[in-house]
Amino acid sequence: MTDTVPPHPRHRVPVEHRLLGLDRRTFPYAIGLVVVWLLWVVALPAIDGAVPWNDTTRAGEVFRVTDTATITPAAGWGVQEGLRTTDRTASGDTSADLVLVTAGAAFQVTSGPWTGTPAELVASGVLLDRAVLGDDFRPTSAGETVRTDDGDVGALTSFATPTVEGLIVAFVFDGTGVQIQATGTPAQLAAHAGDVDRMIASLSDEGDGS
Amino acid sequence: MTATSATQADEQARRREAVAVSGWGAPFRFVQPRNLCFWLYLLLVGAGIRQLIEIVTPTAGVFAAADIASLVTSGLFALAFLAFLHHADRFERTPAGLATAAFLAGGVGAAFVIALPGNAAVTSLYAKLFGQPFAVDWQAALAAPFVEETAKGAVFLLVMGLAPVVVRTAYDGLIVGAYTGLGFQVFEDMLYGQNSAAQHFGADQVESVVGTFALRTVTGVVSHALFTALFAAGLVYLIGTVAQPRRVGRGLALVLAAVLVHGVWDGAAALGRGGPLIVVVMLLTTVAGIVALLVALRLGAGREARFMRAVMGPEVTAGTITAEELDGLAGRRRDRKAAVRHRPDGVTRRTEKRVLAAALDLAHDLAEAGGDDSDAVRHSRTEIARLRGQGPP
Repeated sequence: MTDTVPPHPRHRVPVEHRLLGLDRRTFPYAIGLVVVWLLWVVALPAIDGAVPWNDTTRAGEVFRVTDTATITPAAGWGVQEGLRTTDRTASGDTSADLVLVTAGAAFQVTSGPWTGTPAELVASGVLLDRAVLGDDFRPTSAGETVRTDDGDVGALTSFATPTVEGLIVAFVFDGTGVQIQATGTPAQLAAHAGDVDRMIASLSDEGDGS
Repeated sequence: MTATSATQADEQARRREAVAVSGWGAPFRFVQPRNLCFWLYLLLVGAGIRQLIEIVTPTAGVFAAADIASLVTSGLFALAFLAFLHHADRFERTPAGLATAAFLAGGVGAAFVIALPGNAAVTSLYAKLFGQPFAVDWQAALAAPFVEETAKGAVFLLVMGLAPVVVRTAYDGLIVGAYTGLGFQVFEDMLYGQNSAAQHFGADQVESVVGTFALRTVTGVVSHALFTALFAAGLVYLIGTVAQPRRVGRGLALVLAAVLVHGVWDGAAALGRGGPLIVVVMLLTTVAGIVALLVALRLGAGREARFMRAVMGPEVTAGTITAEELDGLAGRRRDRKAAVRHRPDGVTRRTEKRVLAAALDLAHDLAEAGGDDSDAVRHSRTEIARLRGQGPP
């Protein structure tokens, strides 16, 4: 007599390991993934959402947007990203992209290498925004000139979508482009238009001799 | 029964047990409707592909050059690393389907579904709780190692759940973990390429992507493939399997090594105080990463070597290969060199190296046949004899 057990059918899970037709022995591996997913995709974003931003700009504070350029925000805007000229970092970084928000409106400054004109830099921003926002993106003015308090000249285009309005402003300082985008609901952007104009006008570059 | 046949029976039993315990030669079947990991895998990768399309599609027209350059450069990086992994994967050949599943899940699942939202939430919290200067300095070093390593580790667990017979030892963890990390690295590099083009406002896209690629390649040793190899091997030690006894201390050490090397690497700018010390920190981290990997490979290879000796031992008794050749198969580089040095008279170095390669084929064929003879096994033995000039040309 042989004690060899005939092999069970290939896809049949032994009854003691079966639950709803699934093999319970695979559950621990799957649970590992679910736990990590819950932690980083559900729990941490929920905690982040529950913690308010409490860093707001004060009158007279200056933020550095490139190694040589600074901007002076209006008081009372929330700082989501950016370094003040008084900030000291261990890495020695002195500038970062600037993201300021207030109810229903956002003001964002980015910088990077740019050898073209301010108008071309605005056009690049328009191209990207149109790609992201699709056919809803509609320029409402183009080719306008803006001037900072220091006398630097930049280009401006404003746009609208069914839900938001915005403007793209660009300056170029010695091979570095500075692109500013202000967006918000029509009412909020209109309410903060003064702040936005003053912040753009406050852009100052020590490196261009102005 | 004679003493010789008793010994051969023992050796054969040991061989069969080694094949069964190690999982060597076990096939990988992707479609497993009874496996919860299979459904979660589909969900994860499907969500990742959707996320990838949502990120890339809107700007595809604007960043076309950057996307193509990223695809080409990331592909080259992947090919170089795949060649290395294929070389390192000498004991048990990882099934191509399993390697692909790990690569994809690491690339689109871990990166887009888990790491992107996780990193965003953690870095946002750092900025809120500790201020912008802290976030600028430490958000990468104190977010990515925790979020990304656990994300890739969880994906490795999922893949292990899809192939619990194939992935059984710490060495398997190193190899399959490296495939998972490589997927993450390649897809992350593609995103970095696009970000780099965006930082240049869409100008000089190819140049900016190639610049990013060059930097990532120069520093490519310390990459997600290395981190995840260490982390996954640590997980196998922590879990323990039928082929790998649980070693909690060793497992924790490898997991921590992965997190630490990743964290120090990402925090090099702050740790180096923004000066030349950054290069020193990066060099030390690279050395530490390589040392950790070599130690893990050495530790993991010990178990695989025992399986190799059990599988190929009967071939020494039967005279298919010599004891030195078995040492070369199961041992380290110096053992392989010794096997070549002590080759039989009249056999060239080149031929002996080919014999060792053919013996490795024989080991794989034996594993696939469950330790028994098969047409493939008999063919491999004939090949070894032919290479030695003892068989038909």
